[in-house]
Amino acid sequence: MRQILDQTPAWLSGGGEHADVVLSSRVRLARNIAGFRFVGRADIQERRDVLNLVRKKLTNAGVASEDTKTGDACWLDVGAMNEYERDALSERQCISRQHAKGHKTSASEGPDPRAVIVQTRGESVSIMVNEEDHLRLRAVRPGLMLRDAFDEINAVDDRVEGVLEYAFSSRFGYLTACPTNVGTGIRVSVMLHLPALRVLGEIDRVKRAAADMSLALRGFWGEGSEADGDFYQLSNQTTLGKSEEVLLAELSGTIVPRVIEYERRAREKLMTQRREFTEDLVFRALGVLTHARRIGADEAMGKLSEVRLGVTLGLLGGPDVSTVNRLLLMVQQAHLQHAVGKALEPGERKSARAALLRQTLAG
Amino acid sequence: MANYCEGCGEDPVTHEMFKDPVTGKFVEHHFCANCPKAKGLVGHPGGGEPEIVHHVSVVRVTASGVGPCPGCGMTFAKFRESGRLGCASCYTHFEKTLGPLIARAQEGATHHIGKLPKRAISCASSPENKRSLMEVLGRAEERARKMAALRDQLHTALTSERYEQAALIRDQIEQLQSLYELPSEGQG
Repeated sequence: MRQILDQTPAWLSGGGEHADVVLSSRVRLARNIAGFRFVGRADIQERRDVLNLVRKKLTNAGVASEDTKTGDACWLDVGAMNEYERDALSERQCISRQHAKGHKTSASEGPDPRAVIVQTRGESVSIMVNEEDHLRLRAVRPGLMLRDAFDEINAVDDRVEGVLEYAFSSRFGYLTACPTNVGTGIRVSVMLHLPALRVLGEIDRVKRAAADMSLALRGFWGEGSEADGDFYQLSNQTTLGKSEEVLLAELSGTIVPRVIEYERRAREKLMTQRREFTEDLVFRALGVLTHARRIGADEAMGKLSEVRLGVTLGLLGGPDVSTVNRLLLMVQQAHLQHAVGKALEPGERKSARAALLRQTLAG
Repeated sequence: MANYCEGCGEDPVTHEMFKDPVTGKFVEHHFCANCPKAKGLVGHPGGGEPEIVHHVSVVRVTASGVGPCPGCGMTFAKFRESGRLGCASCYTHFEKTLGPLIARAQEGATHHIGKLPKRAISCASSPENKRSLMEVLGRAEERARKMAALRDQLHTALTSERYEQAALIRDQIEQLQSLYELPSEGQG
């Protein structure tokens, strides 16, 4: 676990295609195991049975390893973790917020039986066990690399299916607890950084384009959240009646290039028509990050976004994009506590965050 | 669907699914709340008291016209409330009512097109797997509907000049056609 928290996930490396606008590409598959009730309906014993079965089958098949040091993908018992470890995994998007929280259990039942399998190096693959569905498999890549992410998770899915029988029907496809995921069970998404569109008040153009194509535009940190620091997640809503390849092509072949183009044009406009305003915005943001003595997570995200804009526009000589990306994660609450090596009271967090930013950006 | 308690015949039904303590299976019965006969009828001799799996009012049940799912005891009313189904059997049990709801949420789609469980396909040549292949590919009517949906998608992709998607859909049609030629029960 420590080893994972000490590294920067590969998807934040700042690499990949169109990395100036696309932070990461992600594909997830929702799957359930035949013969068991779905997680929300199963009692704690049945959820334990599912967990044990998955653990046994996937470690035997080499998909997961019990040894966190040598295995490619380690099995982490989320139920046995403390709150800060769970939150840290959620901040890294290895698990969802819901999975960090778990299902309600009584005191005598103990923690909700749930786990995650994380690819140790780079965290590009993870499998949540007993979230809303028995299995949620996801692959993530830096920049616009949806095809690679899909190929990887599809191969993992084949390996899992080789040892576990999935709930499947000829009519509805892969059966999921929520009918909005049924069929392919796939969610294809890209994380976009759209600061120039926000500054110019043109984010609604993207929202309209997304709605026209029945796609969802949400904040970076998942469903229902507002966009923190101009990071948006664009994903498919339809999962039934279209093949995985077509859903992938719809997102990566049509709307994403269009949004990238919108954002680049907006950035160009900022540089040609509003140069002084833009420089002021970027240098002020850097000034706050390098000099503030107390800073909240939301403000830090907002300023990091503006600095990231400055870096991609070539206005700033440093820091580089990968450092800014890494800081986006490090300013989150659980990672901040990990970085300072102790639990922080609410009043201490702002000053610790400001110190971390000053230290990282000065070096 | 019984509206009145099968124990006393007087009060409205509130308990409908029971888990048999011995076999662990779900048994459907219609009793009013606290009906003394419920325990005696459902309970196994010496096997402890049956567990009431859920409670539903008559009104809620008649809303879908279908009783609770035999696989998990989920009622349609409960599904409407939570938005989550209880098990794989719910999809079959509530198919009539659920189908149009799913179509509404999925841009009119009614049938799955895309990945199929590899195990059923790769074992298709062995005689004991015929049934599972049929379960995966569906019967003739379902196959025809999937093909029609794919041809519609191909037409739309071509008329809107999305050639990359059109090529993908064509591949999908060819792939399904070759699978449909495999011998399996329920074809034709």
